[in-house]
Amino acid sequence: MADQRVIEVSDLTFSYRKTEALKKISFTVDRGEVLGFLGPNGAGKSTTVKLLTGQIVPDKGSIRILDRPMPRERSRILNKIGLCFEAPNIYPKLTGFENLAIFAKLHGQSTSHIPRLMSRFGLENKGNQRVASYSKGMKQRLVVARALVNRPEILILDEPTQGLDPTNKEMLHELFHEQQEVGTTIFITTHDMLDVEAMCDRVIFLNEGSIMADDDPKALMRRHGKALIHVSLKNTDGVEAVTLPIDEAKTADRIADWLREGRVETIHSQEATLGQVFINITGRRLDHE
Amino acid sequence: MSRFWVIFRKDLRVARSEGLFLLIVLWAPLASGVTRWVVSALGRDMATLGLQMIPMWLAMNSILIGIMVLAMLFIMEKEAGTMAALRLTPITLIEIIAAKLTISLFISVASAIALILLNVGAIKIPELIVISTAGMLFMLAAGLLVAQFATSMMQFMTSVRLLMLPLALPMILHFFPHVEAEWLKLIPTYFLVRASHEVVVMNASLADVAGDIGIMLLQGLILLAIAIFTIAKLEKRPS
Repeated sequence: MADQRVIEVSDLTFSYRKTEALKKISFTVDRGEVLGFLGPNGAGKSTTVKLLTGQIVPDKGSIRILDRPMPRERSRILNKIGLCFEAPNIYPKLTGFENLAIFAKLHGQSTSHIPRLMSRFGLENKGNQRVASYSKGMKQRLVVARALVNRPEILILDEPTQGLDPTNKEMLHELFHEQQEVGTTIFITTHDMLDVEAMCDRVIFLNEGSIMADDDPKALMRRHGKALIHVSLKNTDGVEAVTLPIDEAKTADRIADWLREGRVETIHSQEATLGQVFINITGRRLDHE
Repeated sequence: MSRFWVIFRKDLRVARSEGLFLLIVLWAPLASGVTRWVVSALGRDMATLGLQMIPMWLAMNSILIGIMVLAMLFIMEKEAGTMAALRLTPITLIEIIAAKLTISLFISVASAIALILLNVGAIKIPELIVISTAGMLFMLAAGLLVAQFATSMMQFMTSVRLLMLPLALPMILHFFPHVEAEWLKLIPTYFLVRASHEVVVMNASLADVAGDIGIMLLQGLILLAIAIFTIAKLEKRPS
């Protein structure tokens, strides 16, 4: 199993001056797994990414990536990692092809696969255009393409779909699925539940620098979530909305009564969401600023 | 291709696409050319005056290009967020600095040659290039250092003017030979002006000005080491 572990984090602690950003967190990620790292702003997600990529050094604890210690073997590890950040940090005055070629060469790779990569990201006709002329979605796709330019074993994605329209989001989800299918391990930080539901095999909830939960999303929803039924009832003043927990015995009786009385206008069931599970576990909202 | 050359070629391409670079590179040669034309039109003898003006133009060229070009290459990376992206590849900080430093020196030498050719023709070019390059090292390091504390090009342009003013003093005082203050020797451009004056006006050889070249190189290397140390330290500082 050890060779299956691609990321091993143990007792990781990091402080920004007097603020403890991470408090002895430990987790592992297996080969081919898609791990969602969830938490509100300030939970410690970006600090974890910075530590995983060797941008900062932990106060305590250890990180091993692909069986090598980070940050001691940073350069070798970075050669096997693809990174994608929320901000499209690309050269606006260069073309899309040039942007990818620079990073391919810095990783010691040839540029022969770049046209294919650009085509996969729907940028085949844009390769010779300056990036400054790209739309936001195109820039973000280029950043994700750049993360794959070194054929990485691990993809680290920090809020990769933030601010994108649904079409671009869906396109990126498909591309991440393809990577998962070829065995790439994906570590993704996000507040976006659509990202998690579309991609993640496992999620870690982070709150105020501590891990609050670490499990498969469905198991978390079963254990901590509450499925609901929303009923719109006709009454003398108009329509009244009522929400009932699905797992309570009284719910069925009450709905049966309303149906007999002919008061039910609409009825919908709603499964527990990870967002609600997060609130139930941490007492905070994921989009909390 | 080595990582150094990847950054070198990329920066050359970026520099070409930025109109501001061209303006900075051509400013001193063009300004000196126009001055020469105006002075000639006024009936003054440019043969002697042109030689006397070379130290001033070389110093101005090194201040403008040295401080601006390398710093601009860094600030543009910072503004676009691409420096962070580069640092997440196997390239080292030293490789990035070396590539940008080399390209800045390359641009400065090209500009200095244009400047000399426009003013006095093809005389003493190798000697003046050696002197100019030695003086340029300090300016490059100074620009690099200031660029680390600027978050935008606008902020850099504002703060760098304060640095340019004292550096320009020896260049101005070159035309007032009776002002011989010891404190002038604390300003690196003093040696650049003095060495180039010795070479073009007094017909000195490189060996005659080796002391001044040595001092300039030493000053430049010390400031460069400080700049690299500062960048490495700032990079590790959590934000």
